[in-house]
Amino acid sequence: MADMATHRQLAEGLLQAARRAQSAKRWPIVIDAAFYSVFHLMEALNAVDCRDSYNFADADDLLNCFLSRELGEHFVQDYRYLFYFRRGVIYGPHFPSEEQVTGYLRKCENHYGHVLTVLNQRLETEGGDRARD
Amino acid sequence: MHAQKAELCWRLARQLYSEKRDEFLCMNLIFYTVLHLIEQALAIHHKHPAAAPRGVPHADRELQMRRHLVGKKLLEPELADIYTELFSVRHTFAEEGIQTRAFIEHYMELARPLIEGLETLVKAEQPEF
Repeated sequence: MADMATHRQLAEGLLQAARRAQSAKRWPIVIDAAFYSVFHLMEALNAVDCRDSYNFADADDLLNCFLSRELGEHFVQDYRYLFYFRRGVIYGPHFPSEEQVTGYLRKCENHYGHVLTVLNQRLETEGGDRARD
Repeated sequence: MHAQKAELCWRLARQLYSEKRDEFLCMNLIFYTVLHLIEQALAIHHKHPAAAPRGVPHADRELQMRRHLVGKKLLEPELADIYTELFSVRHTFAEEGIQTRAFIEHYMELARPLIEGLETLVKAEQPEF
């Protein structure tokens, strides 16, 4: 839980960290930072509507219930891929290949860009609505 | 596998810590080191934590650690309490803002005795082949 600005700032820093760390030897940093950059940007979008995730199941529910139309089915499906891949390599018995790490970062970069676009559009709309109120 | 991951995460955590950057990721790597050491110790006794659907196994790991490691007097309860503290102060959802240097110094000092205790435990418990 955090306010919108904190999630957004954290997400931006994490994406930069993932890019800096990009190497097969530092894969836990790449995967963790890349995943959380998308996660926290999604949380920033939730924060605009006064919602917080208390755990990952919450985050999945909130995505499916409230954000799927804005973010699109492709994002919803890929978010689950990002979540389960991270869980499998960070907590589980799997070691990712260099190709998988690079592909994961690429996916996260694309989704980060997509969520940021949606967030900025939302903030512009909200700003306009509030100015008219 | 747990031993390999604990070693990798601990090396990367210390690297980020000495470079004084990416506190959020450093905190996570410290936590991942601890969780792999706990799971390594549990695996020796053929125990593995479960996760709720779409979740992660942090709560069940604590339950099993207390039942199978503390309960069998393999791990001091004070060391197990450190896991609870590491879990509860880990700002995964950034509720207290972004992690600072002071936060990560506290987190690292908190984790060290548990990591050392668990390393000793798994070395002593590891079956010899």
